[in-house]
Amino acid sequence: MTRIAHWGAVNDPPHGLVAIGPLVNVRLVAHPKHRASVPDVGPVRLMIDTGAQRTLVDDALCVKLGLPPIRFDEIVGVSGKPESWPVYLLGVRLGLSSHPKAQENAFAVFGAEVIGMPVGPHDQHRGLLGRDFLANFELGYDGPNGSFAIMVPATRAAALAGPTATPNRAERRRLARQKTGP
Amino acid sequence: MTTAAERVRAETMLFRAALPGLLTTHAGKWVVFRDGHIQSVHDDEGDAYSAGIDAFGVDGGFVVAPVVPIKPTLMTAALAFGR
Repeated sequence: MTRIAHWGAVNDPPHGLVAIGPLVNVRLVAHPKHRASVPDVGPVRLMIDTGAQRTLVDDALCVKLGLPPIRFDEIVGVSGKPESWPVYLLGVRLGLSSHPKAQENAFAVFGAEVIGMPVGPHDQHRGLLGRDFLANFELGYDGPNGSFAIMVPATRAAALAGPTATPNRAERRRLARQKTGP
Repeated sequence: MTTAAERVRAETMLFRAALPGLLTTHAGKWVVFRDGHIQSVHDDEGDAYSAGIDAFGVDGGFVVAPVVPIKPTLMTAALAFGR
């Protein structure tokens, strides 16, 4: 079965991946059901976190997209108490490549609920890709080689994300500059 | 002026207050909720979102929510430790 994948690597293996974590550059866009055009936001560096049930992104970035939340949910953060945070229904645009050595040559937009929360004073990442987002994918984690991959069968990607777009030349150049990981 | 986000927050509170009753009639469904009432009922979140935009506009201050019991979510599993 043909799979498409977002592949990333962190130098130097194996400790780079331990110290920094699996980071993915995405762009936040309008949800595929939104239909109207909205300027996207990104690249936004997110860390894959299988310990997180939900996907979280710096609320300032969600606000920048200009779409209001769809509701508020109770989330237990560092305060240890449930607090209401906005939930946005967005599209998460993910670069895809069919081979680890290939540059990103396509992308797909996956609809996702994103919780907007303030991010602490660090610049490693601006949010977490949680298990709700990863429910769409297979996840490969190669610790010894410092690499990881988010994979989805091509047929399922089309069903999840609508047609996988092949970018034009300008988009290919931008995506080539926007490499995954530091 | 009330922003769309503030209106969504207020509607969320109304939705939570109405949830016990909604669980007896619409459990498991996605709803568009506004003005203290269900506006439409859907099987899918995306369809509910589309319906909300069509009916009220993107800044219309509507809530899209599943009719399920509310359980606070841990931001990340590490928060379950160290207290």
